[in-house]
Amino acid sequence: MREMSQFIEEAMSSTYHPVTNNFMMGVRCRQAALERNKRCLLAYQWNRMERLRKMRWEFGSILPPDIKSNLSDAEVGWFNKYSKCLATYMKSIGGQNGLNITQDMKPPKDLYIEVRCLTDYGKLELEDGEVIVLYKNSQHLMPRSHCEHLIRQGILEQVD
Amino acid sequence: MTAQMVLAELQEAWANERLAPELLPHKSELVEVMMEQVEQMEANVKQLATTDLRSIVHRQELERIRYLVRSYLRTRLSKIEQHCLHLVRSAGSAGGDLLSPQEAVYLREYTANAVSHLKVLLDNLPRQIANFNVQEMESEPELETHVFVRSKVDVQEALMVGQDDEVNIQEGSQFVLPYSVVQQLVRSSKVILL
Repeated sequence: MREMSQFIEEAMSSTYHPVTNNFMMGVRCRQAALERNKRCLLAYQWNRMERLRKMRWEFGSILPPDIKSNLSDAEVGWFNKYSKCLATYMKSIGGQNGLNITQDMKPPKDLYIEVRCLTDYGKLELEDGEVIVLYKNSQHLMPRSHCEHLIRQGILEQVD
Repeated sequence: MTAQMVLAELQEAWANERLAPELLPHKSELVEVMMEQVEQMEANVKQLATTDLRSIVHRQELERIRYLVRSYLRTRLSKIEQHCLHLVRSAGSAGGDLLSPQEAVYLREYTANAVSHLKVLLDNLPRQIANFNVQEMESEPELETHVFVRSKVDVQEALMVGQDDEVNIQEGSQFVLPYSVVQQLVRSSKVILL
């Protein structure tokens, strides 16, 4: 990004000096090129934002470190703001506790699905108070609504 | 209105919302009623034994409803994000009941964040071209795209398609039309999208 703006700066300075020499055509061309570059820059940033938005839905409010290391400071800031904004919205709908709309990303087929644990996660308490222990490579039959976010975090894996 | 009817209407709203290119008027009262119903049903289901067949069927149904509600709200949010600048501009003039109050808050916050994020980027540019043109960034919904519709009622007046084609829509009939032609009918939910 910095390279690009430096390039633009160079182009700017070379554009605006020859104005005195009346090279109007050249100036116009440069101006158009600059506008184009600016648009590219904005589009680039916009698309990165879109990618980040998708990640918010996938990973939740905390990004995996390998992705975080690829972001600029401003992007991290924006991501946090976006995340907060979404959280505020989810809190404001659907009664007291809010409604987590990042759940249920796929239409439900079965109440229970079979999952295999990929890491040593530890204890997990289910809705009805039952506690199960998730060891690496252990298989469980669990309520789908319960393990969806664990699947997306890569702790569980669905077994077909 | 019974719970069944609310569900049917919500299903229709969900289908329309997913298929329409633009954001449709919100149905937050339906969502609220449905959520209350879900809570009640949840309480009922808890009283049944987990091995009871009825419990399983009911829980399955609850899962479906929850998916429906979430998916509906998600679709709306993603449209709001996509067309945020367009919506901010039109919200002042016409779009009174397009957004629910919560969505309006979300739109404001989201747009402010997005715009300020892009502006920070432009601050690095030389002053002469660093102005941020909102209009340039605006993305409008594609209204000329074709959609499949089925009518729920007899539409009295003929619809104009293009320059000189007229369409008379009867109850239960199906058409493929540009979205802009049936826009008003979709908004007032006289037709459903397929």
